[in-house]
Amino acid sequence: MTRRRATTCLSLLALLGAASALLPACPTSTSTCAPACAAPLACDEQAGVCRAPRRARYAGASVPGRSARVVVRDGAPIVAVFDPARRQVLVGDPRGDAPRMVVLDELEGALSAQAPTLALVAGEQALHVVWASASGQLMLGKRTYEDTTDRWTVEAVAVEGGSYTAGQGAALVVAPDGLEVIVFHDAQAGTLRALRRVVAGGAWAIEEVDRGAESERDACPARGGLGLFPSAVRTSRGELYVAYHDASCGTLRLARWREGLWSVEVLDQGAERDARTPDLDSITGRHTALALDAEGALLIAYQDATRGRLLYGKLAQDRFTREVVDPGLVLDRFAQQRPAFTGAFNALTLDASNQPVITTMNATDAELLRARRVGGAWELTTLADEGLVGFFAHHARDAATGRAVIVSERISPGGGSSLVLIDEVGQ
Amino acid sequence: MRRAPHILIIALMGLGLISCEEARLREDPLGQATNPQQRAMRALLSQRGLAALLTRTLGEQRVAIRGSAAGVVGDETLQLGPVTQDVAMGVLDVVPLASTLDATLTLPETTLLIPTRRASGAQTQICRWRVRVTSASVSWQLAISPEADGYMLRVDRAPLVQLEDPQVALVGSCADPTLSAADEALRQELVGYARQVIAESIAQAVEGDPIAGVSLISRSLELTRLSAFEHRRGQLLLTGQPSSGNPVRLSADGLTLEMDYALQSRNARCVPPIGPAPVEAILPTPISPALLRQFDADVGLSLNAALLNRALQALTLSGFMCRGLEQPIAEDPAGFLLKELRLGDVGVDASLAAERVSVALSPGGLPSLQLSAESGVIRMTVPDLVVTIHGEVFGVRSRLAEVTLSVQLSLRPTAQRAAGVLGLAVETIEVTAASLSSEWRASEAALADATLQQWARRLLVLVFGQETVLPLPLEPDNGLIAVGAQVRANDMIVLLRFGTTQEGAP
Repeated sequence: MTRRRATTCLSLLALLGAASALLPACPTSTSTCAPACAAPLACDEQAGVCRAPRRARYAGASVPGRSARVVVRDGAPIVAVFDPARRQVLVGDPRGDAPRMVVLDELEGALSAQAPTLALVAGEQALHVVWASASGQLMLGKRTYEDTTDRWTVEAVAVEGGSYTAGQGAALVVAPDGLEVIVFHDAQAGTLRALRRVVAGGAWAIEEVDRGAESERDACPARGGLGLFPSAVRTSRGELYVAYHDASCGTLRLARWREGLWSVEVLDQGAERDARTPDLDSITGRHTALALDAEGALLIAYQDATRGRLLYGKLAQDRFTREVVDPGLVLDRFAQQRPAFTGAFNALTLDASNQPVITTMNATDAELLRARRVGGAWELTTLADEGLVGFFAHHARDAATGRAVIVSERISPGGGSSLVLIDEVGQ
Repeated sequence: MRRAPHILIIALMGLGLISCEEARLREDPLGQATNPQQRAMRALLSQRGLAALLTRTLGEQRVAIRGSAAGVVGDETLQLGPVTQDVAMGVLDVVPLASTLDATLTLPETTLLIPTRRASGAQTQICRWRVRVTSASVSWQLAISPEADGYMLRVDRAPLVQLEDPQVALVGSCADPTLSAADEALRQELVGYARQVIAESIAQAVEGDPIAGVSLISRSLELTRLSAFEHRRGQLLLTGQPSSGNPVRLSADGLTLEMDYALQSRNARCVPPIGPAPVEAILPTPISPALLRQFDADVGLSLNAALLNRALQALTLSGFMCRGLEQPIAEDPAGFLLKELRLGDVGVDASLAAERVSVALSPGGLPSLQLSAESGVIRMTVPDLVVTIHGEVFGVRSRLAEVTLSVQLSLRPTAQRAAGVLGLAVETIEVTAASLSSEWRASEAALADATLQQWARRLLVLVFGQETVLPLPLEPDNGLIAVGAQVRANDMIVLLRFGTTQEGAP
């Protein structure tokens, strides 16, 4: 190096040193969480622990009611809903002037029927919410009860080496150990499939529940409509039951998971025989809702879509019986009967007397109804009839307190959505 | 042009054909309908019609000649026949008279093959003979015969057969050496036998029940409304019988048939719990043969206004006017695109509904018919018709709007190509007293009457279409084609022509 170059180099270094003294200090990684938090958790810097990240508060003036689901936890209702205006998935306590709802997701793309699938379960350790994006990706939100109401983990339910496209309708079951099972209609395959959490907070496996391969169960040739309107329950022995609609054949089907295997049967073919009329087929098995009674019998509420009737079935000792809860007929002002299509958006629980309680929608008159069995007969009550109400009707019951919370969407002409919440104590 | 979705077919249903999907027909019902409408229907077969009827009876293309074996006088061992043969049909002329019908059938060149048999010990000697005539003329007379189970056309005077230039020839060889074509006695026997079998065959073929020949319903039938909805399943019982007095008679005008019809319904629950309204009895008016000649018709069928009204009421009470919602909206062949109904014109916001909708009808009262001879139309008035529009919202069948209205339709009869039906063109639709209810209206503001009525009228034009058909009160597979109609003050005359055997029922 020549003297001239060396001088230049030293000057540059001095210049750099002086300049660096004037610059602010570069930030360095100094998180209080060690080791670093793995997604979906984030670091709570104050506490120095990994937690679910805080979700943004819902900014809307009133809580919408699209795709409403409800659970009761610690005496309070928790709802999951979709805001069609903001395209946001929301969860929280909707009551009061300042509802504590948080945003779990903002959906992009065209949504089927403008009402994404939502499922909500209060597990033993956490709240679980499942929803489907426009592309058919299932998302799972979860909040432990220890966490504050705005701390939720959100993950995309993905299967290594597998794929799926979630269509309309999904049922969520959570085991006592917190492992989730999501049963859903795969829109591309046209079948009923299940996503099962294999490891807590970890990997998922995908299972075929009903591919319709055993065509002798039904006589119809077309396939592709299996698994709509699924609902699921888990027994104390860990068995799973899933009731769902086969749109190809118009029937009600039941899938059973026992000892690691799925089996399928047709519960209601929808055909009726009348002495005076030929066989009449109907489309049945839509809007299913399942429950287990105290004796372990499986109870199912569902819709006969052809006649607009609400049906109630019981499967006990492998024998399925069915009765009509609401025939879907009303008397009009001319004293003649006319159809009042009921049996949509069903939810089923048992009251303190182990008797079934069903909430449903009369879609003809846009009313929210409840049916309960009293003294062997079904008693129908109109819970709400102002405006267009009853869409996405759902209810939950707190077995400890007897409190029942019923939710539904009320639609305003023009597409406005609001949540109707009926809080009944001791019902 | 949208074809009417059979709503009006049912609304104006006659007494016979209903589409198989909507009704089940029982041909042996228990019991009969009571309180018949006297002389509710009258039919006139013109001279042309009688010829057509007898031609159909004989065989439009071929006439069956059947004769059993016959002995020969003076020759005990010889037998002529039997004959089983079809010959070409000829020209039939009929002349109706005061109480009889003269008929003459002229057959073209005809050949009959007649075997002879002679028993000879253990053997039978068979020969075959050909009797050929250049033409054959068969004349006979028919009259109406009242019998225990109805009225029959019977041969009153045995057919007279004239054979033109009969030629007899042996076919092949003859095993009977005693017989020869040159034998005049044998020749006379064979020609006489041919004359006999032709006469007997014609006589047997032309006798029959004229009421059945014109396919008039003369029995009891039960129609059950088929529907997925139990509350729509009513029943209709129809009983037809010849009127009292002289209901089947021949005259110079032709053959007249008069029938009584009784209609009874078991109400469906989709109609108000009311009974049929009284219908004034109407005396029948003669059908002019000139009218049949004007249309080249074979049959004129007069349906009186009382019968039409009674039928309309019975069909309504049986549930046949309760329509719609039997199929999923997306698969409903009678459905519409939402935008076609222009619900926005009456302030209904159906933006959340799927693109296809279904329309349902139910009657809040009994419809009625008036016949207008001046304008040649049938006016049907339907009070308190409830029209509901259903769409799918979030996959659920929801009622978007309901309109109650009184409507009057003017229907003009038209000819049809299909057998057994009469066309009805919807000329005008008038709407009065319309009221709308809908939870999907954005505003509570009342609609102007004119706006609502205009919208409702447009809706009905879509629903009813521009043309429909009226099934005629005839037996199935009747083959009668409507070629015209005349509306009179008290009845409607439907002019019919016998179709060929290739023309089927709708």
